[in-house]
Amino acid sequence: MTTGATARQPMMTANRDDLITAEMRSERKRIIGRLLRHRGGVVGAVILLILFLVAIFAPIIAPYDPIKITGADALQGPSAKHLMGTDNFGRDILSRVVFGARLSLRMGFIAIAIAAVIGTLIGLVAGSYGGWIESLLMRFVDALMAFPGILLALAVTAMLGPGLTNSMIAVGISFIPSFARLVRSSALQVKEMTYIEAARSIGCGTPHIIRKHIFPNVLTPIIVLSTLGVASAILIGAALSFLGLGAQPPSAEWGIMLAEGRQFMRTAWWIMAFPGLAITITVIAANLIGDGVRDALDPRLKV
Amino acid sequence: MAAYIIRRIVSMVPVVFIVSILVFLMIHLTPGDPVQTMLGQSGASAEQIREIRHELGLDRSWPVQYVKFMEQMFTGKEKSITTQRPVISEFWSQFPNTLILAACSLVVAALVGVALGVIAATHPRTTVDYGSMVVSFLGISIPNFWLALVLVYFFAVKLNWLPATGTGGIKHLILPVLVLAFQQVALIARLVRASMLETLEEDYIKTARAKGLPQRTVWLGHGLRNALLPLITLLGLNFGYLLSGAVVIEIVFARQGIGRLIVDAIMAKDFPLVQGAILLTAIVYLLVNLLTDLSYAVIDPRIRY
Repeated sequence: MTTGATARQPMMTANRDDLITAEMRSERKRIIGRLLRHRGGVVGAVILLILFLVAIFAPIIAPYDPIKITGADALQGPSAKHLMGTDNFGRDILSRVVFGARLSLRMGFIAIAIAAVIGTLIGLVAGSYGGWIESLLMRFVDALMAFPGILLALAVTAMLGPGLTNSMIAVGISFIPSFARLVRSSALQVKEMTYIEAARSIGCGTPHIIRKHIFPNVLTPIIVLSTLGVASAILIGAALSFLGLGAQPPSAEWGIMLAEGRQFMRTAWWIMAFPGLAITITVIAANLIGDGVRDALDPRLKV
Repeated sequence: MAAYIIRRIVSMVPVVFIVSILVFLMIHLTPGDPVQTMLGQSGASAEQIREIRHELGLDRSWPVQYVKFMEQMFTGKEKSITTQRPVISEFWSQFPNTLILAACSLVVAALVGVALGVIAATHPRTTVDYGSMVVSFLGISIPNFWLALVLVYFFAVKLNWLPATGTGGIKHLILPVLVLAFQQVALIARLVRASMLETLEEDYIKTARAKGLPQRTVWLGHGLRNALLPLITLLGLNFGYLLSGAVVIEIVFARQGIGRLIVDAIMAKDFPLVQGAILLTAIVYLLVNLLTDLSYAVIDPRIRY
């Protein structure tokens, strides 16, 4: 720290904000360093990066049209022409798996974005204000948590009807309780800090304190839960499609492909093998990154 | 103790109340007219629609409707649209199937998971330890419905050892139980390993060793015993999770059960059945959590309320 200050003379006269950013920058460097040394995290990040590229360049990578029906090519095993074989409609599995990456990644990130925004708001307000507002919000969150696992997503799908967008909303809602509870408990800890008391004593209002002091300090657990959540969101999203309640045929969606492949299990194993492998690899990558991010940011965090 | 039990039960009341309101509101928060949705494209006349609305009580105020909904649900007057049987008896006729599946999976998972966790914790940083951690990681990453399909492919289609689908005897249970247990094994092994490693650092473990207790007694009598409390929490939570998490697995193996009941009802737009099954599953889940909490005091004599 001292060497940094002498090396950059202007720091001595710089205002308080600059000092804070410099400190934050070095903290950020340390975190990135730790993340880069986390072998699992790096492997996960590389896999996910490849998946993103596949999703973005799907039209270029995929050798065939993912939804075009070619009756003459139906149920062919893996070959040089069709690396992963074809399904009962003669559609190329590889092309469908490639395009499927788009839907699954979108599902994971959009659902978690919905959950993180709403859950964080609920958690911040409950944790910061306390009193009856907290009781009310947390009873509501408890009630949402009474629908375990996939049940909440199913209930929302029952209301909104099947479909890709609706299933994203459904999965998003089902992750709200985890975010709300985590953010609330973190906010409760931060609230007891001396700097909050200091901010209050100079007359800062609660909304200001939430925005400027509590939110930045609960960001770490939010980031960790988000990265780990993406993995589960992709899994639940695929499960909903598999049940016929998510994306609808003929979309090239991994869950749908598994449901379709199931009927041809006896004769054409490749239809259900490759989409399942794709989901597994994606979820492993997301979980590896999640573990890496947790260990780099705060190893004691139990998310 | 008694005071704690009463307090814990009373604290459940508002949650159950909000849960029931949420389930009741499902039909009202549905975009579009629920009656129209139920009827589909059949093109019912305005008169018919009004009649059905009246029959379902949808033309009255929400609080009145809520009270009526709850009363009819629990007195068995709320009927499934597709089967015309009371929702509550539809639920209870399917419940045992899911209960058996969930219970068997949990028992298998607890036995294997605790064993793996203990071995990993007592042999830290060995192949066994890393191996069990890899299994845990795969357990939370492989989609259970895909694992189910893969197992069906090998054990039912290729080897023809076990039936692929259906509800029946032990043979029908083996594959679904394996699939559900696999995920749980992972979570249980991780937890047991972590909490045992922590316990084995304690001073009283040193004391136990110093007074000459055999290794096995130290590990199981002290190490594992103290890891039990978090384990019970996890098992309780996961049992409830299994009750609903069995949804996809029930579909893959074409088993009868709650999950299948709910998914079929959603597909058929059978709103009373969807609402009833979801409400009852949530209540069962809350009751399981209650029992888990209450069991702490029995298991850990240090806990006094």
